Amino acid sequence: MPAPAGLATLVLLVLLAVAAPAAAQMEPCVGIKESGFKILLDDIFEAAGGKASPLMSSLLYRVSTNLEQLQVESGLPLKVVRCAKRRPSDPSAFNRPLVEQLNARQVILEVWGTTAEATDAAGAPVHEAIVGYALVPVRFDELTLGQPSGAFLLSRQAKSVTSLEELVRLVDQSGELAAYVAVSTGVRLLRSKEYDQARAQLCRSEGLLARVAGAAPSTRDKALIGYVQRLASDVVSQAKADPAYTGVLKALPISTGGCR
Amino acid sequence: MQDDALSAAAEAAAAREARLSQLEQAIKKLQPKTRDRWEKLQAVTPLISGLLVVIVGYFLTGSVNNAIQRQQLQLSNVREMRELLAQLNTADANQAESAAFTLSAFGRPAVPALVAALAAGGEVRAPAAEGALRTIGLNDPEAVCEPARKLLDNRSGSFSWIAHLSAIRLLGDMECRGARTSVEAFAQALGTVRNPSDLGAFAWRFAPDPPLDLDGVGRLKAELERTLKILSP
Repeated sequence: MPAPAGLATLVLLVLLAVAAPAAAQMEPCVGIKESGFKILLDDIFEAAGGKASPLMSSLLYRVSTNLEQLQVESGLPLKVVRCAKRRPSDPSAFNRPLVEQLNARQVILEVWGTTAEATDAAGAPVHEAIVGYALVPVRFDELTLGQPSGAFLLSRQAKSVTSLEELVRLVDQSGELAAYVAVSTGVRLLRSKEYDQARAQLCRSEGLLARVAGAAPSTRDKALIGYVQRLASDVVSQAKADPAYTGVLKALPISTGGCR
Repeated sequence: MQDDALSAAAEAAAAREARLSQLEQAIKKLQPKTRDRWEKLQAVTPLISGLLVVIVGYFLTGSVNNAIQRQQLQLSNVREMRELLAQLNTADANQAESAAFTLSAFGRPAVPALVAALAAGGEVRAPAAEGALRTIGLNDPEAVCEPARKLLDNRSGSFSWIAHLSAIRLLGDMECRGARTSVEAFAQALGTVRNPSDLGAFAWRFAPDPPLDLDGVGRLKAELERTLKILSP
């Protein structure tokens, strides 16, 4: 039998839950226990019918292929893991307890999306897509330090979402995946005191992010690039201050700072 | 003549003496006996033992009844919690959170199951279980402090480092001052880890999954610092 005080707490919590905005709707991901750095690929589903795209398996393969170059360049064990029925409602689903768990499991990026039929300005049928990215180690910093944004949504438009090419373009239009993976692994490696690899990834990500941002970077892109530059500089100073580290960064002058 | 009179008087005196002592003995027999302590104790023993049987019986029946009622309550709690625990294990984040909050309303009886869920881990289940334990601890800190301290002290390799991290956080949140020694001992052991080669000597106390790396060590240190600050006198 619940105690009266406990019952009162329960009622209060239920009221709070009702008053709170819609939270995450996601199943635990089975493949999360695999070793190495992981990119979680959640459902990309129709907002109306709630059905996941039948091309998810093919997309998984293509995303893995797209990240192959980064994997070869960095020498890091990267694995794309499919998380069926996992549908974060919005970036706020990536709260501190969840991000802490994902971070402990070496999840570096999580991607999800919804599509909806719409019409463009000319009245032609199009598919509006909202694609979500959670850069787990960056999000962890956001939740503890307040910046930069580590989980966000991007709007995309596609004529159709029935072909694999269209679906790939939705999640990786301008090479976002490689850029975000490079940032996240760089941050994660720095926290693990793997200074050389961290600097290489952060410097790699700076270029990739600049390419994604294009000629007119958004405020979020600018903040992310600035964050990467700061961390790339921190790598050198942290490496020099760490008595356990004996690598090449020890020889660099502090003024070397970032990637140039 | 005089001799005869004297011997007659002596006989009469002896006869009187004998009669007197007979009378005294008879009077003695008639007088009530005075009893010593041992005799008194022997006399009241049946009464005391009877009373003891009644008192012990009363308390024994009470405690047996209490134990039976406690067992029945526990069984009923388990029955009512079973479905919620299953939801905690399989449901999505929303359902798991709602199941965990409902479990927290059971108070102390839900603690072992929630600690087990916390120790089992999972990106949805573990945070929900930790939240429920925190809610219980707000009403009844002692119910959470002791299991969290035991989890932190455990070096059997049965619990992950992330479960230890949750235990450290809970000990701080619940202001479990009695666990300060355990937290300090853990902090001291963690202080020896400075580079990757030190990890093995410390990480043996945790379950191998997920593996502890220096990022995890950083998280543990940050949480320990906060908890020790809260628990400082």
